[in-house]
This record gives sequence, structure tokens and C-alpha cells, in this order.
Amino acid sequence: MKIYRILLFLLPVTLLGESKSFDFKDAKGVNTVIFQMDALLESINGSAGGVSGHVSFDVQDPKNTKGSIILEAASLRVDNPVLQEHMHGEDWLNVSKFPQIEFSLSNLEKITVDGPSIRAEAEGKMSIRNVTMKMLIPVEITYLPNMLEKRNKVPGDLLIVRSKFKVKRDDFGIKPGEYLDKVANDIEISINLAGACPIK
Amino acid sequence: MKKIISIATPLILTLGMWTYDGARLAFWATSIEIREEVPVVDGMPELGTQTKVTWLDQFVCGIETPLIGAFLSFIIFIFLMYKKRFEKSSLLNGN
Repeated sequence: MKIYRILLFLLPVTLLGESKSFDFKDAKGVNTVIFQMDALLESINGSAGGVSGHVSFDVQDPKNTKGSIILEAASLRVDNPVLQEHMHGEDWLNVSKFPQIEFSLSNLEKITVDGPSIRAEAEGKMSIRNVTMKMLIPVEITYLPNMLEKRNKVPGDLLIVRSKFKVKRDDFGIKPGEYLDKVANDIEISINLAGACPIK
Repeated sequence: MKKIISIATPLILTLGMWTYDGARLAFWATSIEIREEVPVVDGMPELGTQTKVTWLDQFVCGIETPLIGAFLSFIIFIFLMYKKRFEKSSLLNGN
């Protein structure tokens, strides 16, 4: 009898706690990844707009947030065309051979609630140039129920993911130890992405 | 005076162009990135903002510009120096 009572109590929680899948291919085209590399002689900064991927998020259980954010490597852009050609080229990112940069999120750790948002460390694997590394990335996630209609004119929810972190290019075999005076080893990445979960 | 102006003009012009474009130590750029903070939900900035990036095609002078100016000034200086020497030797030879 006691077990039935517990099950009866848990049933609505389970129904409410269904995770939702958020699509990060932004219909408004605002989702952008911004990067900066500050070397001794040169500062390179630019952005990339080719963001896609899906993240499943459960408001009741944010720890189990999973998914992947994919960036089209060819969408990385800088202001100098020669520099961009080199960056996309065989010696650097080799975008024709490795067209995608991917972060596969496996779960969230150290979750703290900060107003309407949660702050956490996203545990996952970063893949650049076919080199995959485990990473812990600080993230701020804001769940905005029923706000998709106001953004994309489609009923549904929004999930905003913000993060600032660094990756080292030598960790991913991008010219390790070379040209450090002009191209910094640390790549500072800033993301501010909106994911959509339309009501089906 | 006329010679000094001829020599200095390319350098001064290119230095002016470079300074006008922000005296960047980087190389020439053919586009500029405009970053703008837009609300995630239209009309509700209290819910947070996103950075919207727009690229505009525009030429921006880099460090090459004053270097080319300095090179041109040097070429003019060499040309004028040789011209002067040639004129002097012509006078001495009585041509």
C-alpha cells in the first residue's frame, strides 16, 4: 500500500519532469559564437554564425541536461580575407576535411540557482579537427517558458545558454607551439545562444 | 622646398589614411564586424540580451598603408637624388 502511495505521489512529478529538446538552429539568425586570440604581436577576433544542435533540458532535473552544439567551421569569419583563408586552410582548421566543431554535453555539475537562471559546469567532449577532449565549461542557462512565440512567432519555450571559456589550440593539434607571437595558443570563446522548443 | 614636399607627400598621405582608420597595427581588412546587443525576446530586454554580429564589406587600412607610403617616399627621394647628380654631371661635362 505504501509503495502505491509513493508511486501515486511520483507520477505527476514524472509527468511534469519530462525533458524538452531545444533546437539551436536559430530562425532569427542571431546565434553566434565569438572568438578572440590575443598574441604578443597580433590580436585576432571574429565570429561564426553556423550554429546548430539539440539540447534536452529538464526543468525538474537540470543535472541530466544532454545534447550537442555544432558549429560549421567554414562559418568562422575574420576581417582580413587572407587571414580567413589561412584559418580555413589545410594547415590550420582544414574546414574541408573537418567541417564541424562539436561540443557534446553529457551532464551538468555544480548547479546553483541564480534568479531565473542556473549556473553550472557543463561536462562534455569538445571535438575540433577530429581531436576529442573532455572539458568542463562554465554555463549559465535560462529557461523561458512560453516565450518562443514572442521571439519566433511560434508557440513554445526558449532556452538561453551563455558561456565564456578558453580552449588551447595545441590541445587540438592546431600548429602546436608554432607562430605563438602572432596567433595565441589560448582561444577565448564567448557564446550566447537561444534554443527553441516549439509545441507540437 | 618643392623636393621635400614631393618626398614627404606619399608618407604623409598614407599616414593620414592609416590614422583616420584607427591606426591599427593589424593588416588590411576588407570587412568590419558590427556587434550589437539585442533582446532575446523582442521588447523584453529584462530577460537578457544576445550579441548580434553583422559583417559589412568595407576597406580598413592596416599597417601596410604607411609602410607603402614610406617606400614610395624613399623611391622619390632616390629618384630626385639621382636626377640632381645627373644634372650636376651634365653641367660639369658641358652638355
